[in-house]
Amino acid sequence: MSPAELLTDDAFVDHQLTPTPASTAYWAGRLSRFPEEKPAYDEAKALLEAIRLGLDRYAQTTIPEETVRQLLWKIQQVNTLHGSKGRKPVVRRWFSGAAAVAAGLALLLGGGVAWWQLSRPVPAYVRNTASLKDTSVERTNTSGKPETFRLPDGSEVVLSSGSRLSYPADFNRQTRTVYLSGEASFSVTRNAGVPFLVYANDVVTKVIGTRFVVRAFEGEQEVRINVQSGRVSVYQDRQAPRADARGGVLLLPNQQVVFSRLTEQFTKSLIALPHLLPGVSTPRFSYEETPITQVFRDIEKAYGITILYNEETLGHCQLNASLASLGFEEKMGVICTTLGARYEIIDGQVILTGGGCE
Amino acid sequence: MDPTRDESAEQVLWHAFRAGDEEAYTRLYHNHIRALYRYGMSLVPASESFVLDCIQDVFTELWIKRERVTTPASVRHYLLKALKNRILHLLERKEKPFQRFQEMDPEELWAEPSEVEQREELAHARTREERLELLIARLPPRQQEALRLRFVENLDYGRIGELLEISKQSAQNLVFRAVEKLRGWISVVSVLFLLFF
Repeated sequence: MSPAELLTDDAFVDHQLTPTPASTAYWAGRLSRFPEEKPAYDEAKALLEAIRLGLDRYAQTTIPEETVRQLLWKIQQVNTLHGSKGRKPVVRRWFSGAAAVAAGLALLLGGGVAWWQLSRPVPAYVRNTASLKDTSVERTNTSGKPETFRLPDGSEVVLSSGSRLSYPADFNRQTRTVYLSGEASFSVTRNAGVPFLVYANDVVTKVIGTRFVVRAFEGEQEVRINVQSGRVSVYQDRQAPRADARGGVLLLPNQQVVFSRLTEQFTKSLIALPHLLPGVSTPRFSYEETPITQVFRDIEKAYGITILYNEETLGHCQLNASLASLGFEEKMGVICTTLGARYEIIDGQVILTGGGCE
Repeated sequence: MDPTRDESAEQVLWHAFRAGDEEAYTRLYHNHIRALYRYGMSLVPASESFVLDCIQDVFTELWIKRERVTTPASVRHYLLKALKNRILHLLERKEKPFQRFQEMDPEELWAEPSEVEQREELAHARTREERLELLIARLPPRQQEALRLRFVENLDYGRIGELLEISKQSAQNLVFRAVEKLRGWISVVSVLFLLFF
């Protein structure tokens, strides 16, 4: 048996998780009779431990004791109210309709939209940089036009007018951290060993080799980050920086996230003018009686944007049009006019409703 | 020992609950609330309140139907399944226009990150645990779910199949594919991070 076969064997897994005298005797006997199975057994055991370790955070997911108590109380209230009348009583819910769609998308796509309920007041640029030593470097742009310069690691920054950027003297040693007030676009040099972090108005953007823009003027209620290539994760300042998506919003090309400083919420959407992805062969976008499903596939691939639609009503539609010279929104506009459908952008994805081809 | 692993004691509680014993019902709640919560949150990470509502529904419905429900072989499995049904039922109701999801194999929607991206993310992970967590997070959602159910919730493959609405064999295949992929990744990673693995 291979290690993977052992791990798909209930007897093996049960023995590893909850050994009994009988199972211990069985596996010991089996290994002494078939010593050649020992290496696979050991590897399966090590893999199982590795998987359990990787699932530890899931296993440790804790529900606050207070919530356990409150939920039980609510359940008991409902049960009492219900009594023997056989009718379902109405009890105040924790949750109301609107967010269910978002929750559903997150569930079914296996992704995660995260919202925050932290309540810290806004620590701005001044606060962030106050901790920096005198030896830190600050660039201020008051020239009225964007200024381009390079950071010690070779990353390029285009700093908009009215903006300031600082970084510590030991930039590039353990982290590459910059503090921004205003707007800047970054082309980050790849260096996997040294994370690149941008702190701006309560929001931290962590970069995984990429081009992106951060906009965080002190006077503005929103922080906006958009990605041109590669991907970044964005989380609220004072949140422990972790590499996984659960700790923040993961952004892909053509997506942006807006952080409202007022409500402390992240909203993911598409950038205003989505562009064709570099490094992906561009389809011809010229269609003659082409199934609409093919058209959507082309667009999804070329822009890296997911399009959701009702395959039942639109799946057999066809398109005659040349979309090659049109931008993303115009392409969607032509398609929707043809199908009589509407589209909206939710959580960085395009969702089509209505329409048909009768 | 985890009280829920003692299935005969659970059956005793269940019988008492069916007879209207509120204390037994409360004990069942306490025995399973943590597993229900973490499983629900893994399905709908976006909304805790939605998950709590669904758990509430599962328990209140159970109370209403207590005289009619049968005694399940595994209470844990029964409750997890009831919770998942409840979540899917509510989401489906809210989501009529987008039935494409149900028809599609969710794994098709899952784009595997490139090797470069994987390496860069892994380089940021500090501990072995974080790296393993990242590797598991790379797997298609259903494979992850199967891993959680088998290796944390300790459900057998037959019951995992029932939860995922597939055959026992398909549930085993999900885990088999996940394990094979993890094995490959772990060996690559251990070369990259020789010191840590």
